[in-house]
Amino acid sequence: MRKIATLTGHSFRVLYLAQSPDGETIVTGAGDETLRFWKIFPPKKQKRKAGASVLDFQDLR
Amino acid sequence: MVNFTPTRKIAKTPYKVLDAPALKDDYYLNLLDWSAQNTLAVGLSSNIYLWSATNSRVTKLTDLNQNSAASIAWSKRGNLIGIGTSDGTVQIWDVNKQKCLRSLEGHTNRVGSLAWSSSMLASGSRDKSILVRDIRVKDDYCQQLLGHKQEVCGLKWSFEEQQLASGGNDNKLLVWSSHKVEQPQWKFKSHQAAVKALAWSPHQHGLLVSGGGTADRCIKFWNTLNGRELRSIDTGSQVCNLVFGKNVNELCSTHGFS
Repeated sequence: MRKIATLTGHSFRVLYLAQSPDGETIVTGAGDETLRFWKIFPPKKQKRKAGASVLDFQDLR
Repeated sequence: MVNFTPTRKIAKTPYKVLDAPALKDDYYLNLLDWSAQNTLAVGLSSNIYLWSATNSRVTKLTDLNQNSAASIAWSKRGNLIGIGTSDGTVQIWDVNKQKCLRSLEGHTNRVGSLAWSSSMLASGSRDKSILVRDIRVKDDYCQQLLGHKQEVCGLKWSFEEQQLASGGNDNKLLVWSSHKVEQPQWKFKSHQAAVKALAWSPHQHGLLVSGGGTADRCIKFWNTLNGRELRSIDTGSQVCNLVFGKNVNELCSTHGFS
C-alpha cells in the first residue's frame, strides 16, 4: 500500500467528508468555514457505447 | 513481461470552494453528506442547508432553533434526510415536500452519528447507546445496542447490511450483527484513541477500515469475517474520516491534529 497524493488547503482539521454519487469527487468541510471539492477518483470504466460501430444493430427497428 | 501502472494525475487544489459560515470545529459531529440525487446537505449550527451539485441552488431546509445539528445523513435514495440534534432527537425530513415527517425520541444526549440501511436508520449518541429504527413503524426505535462506554462517534452499515460498525470515544470499534443485538459480534480494542472514521470496502467482502484520534493516528484494517486485525498504519495525525473509491481500490483519509 502506498500514499499517492496529499491534498492541503484547509486551515482547520478536516472533520467532515462526503463522496459524490458518481464516486469521482469528494467534498471536505472544516472549522475554517469552507467546503472544498476535490476530484480525486477516476470515472467508472465505460463499456463500449452502443451504436459506436456500423455493425452494431441496437437501433435497428 | 514488465507491467507498469502509472499513478494518474490528481489535482492538488480543490476545483470549487463554498462558504460554510458557522460550520463547527467539533470532532464528534458528522455534519456533511452528499445524496444519491446529487444534493449536498450541511449543518451550520442550527441551520440545515441543501446545495444542489447539479444547478448550484441553495435552499435552507430548516432552522432547529434552540437545538443545533450534530449529524446529517441522507437515506439511500436521497429523498429523506436524517438530522441528529444536540438534545438527542432525530428528525426525519422529506426533502421534496420540505416537511418534517417524524421527530424521534429515545436518546438522552446529542446524536453525533447516523447511518441508513435500505430499511433502517441507526443513530449513535453521547448517551453511549445506538438505536436502530424502522422509521415507518410507530415506535421510536426497534433495537437498542449497548456496548460503548462513551459517546458513539462513528457508525457505518456494511454493504450487505448484515453488519453495523460503531466507533466510540471509548477507543473501541464494535461490529454488530443484524441477527443478534444483545452484544457485538466483534470488539476491536487496539485503537488508542476515539474511533470516528469508518469505511467498509466496496471491493472486498468483510473488509472494514477504521481511523483513530489524536493519541492513536492509525488506520487499521479488519477482517470482520474472522475478527482479525490485518494491518495498522501510523498516519502521523488524527484520522477524522475515511472513504473508499467506488471505481478504484483506493482509500482516502482526512486528518486533524498531529
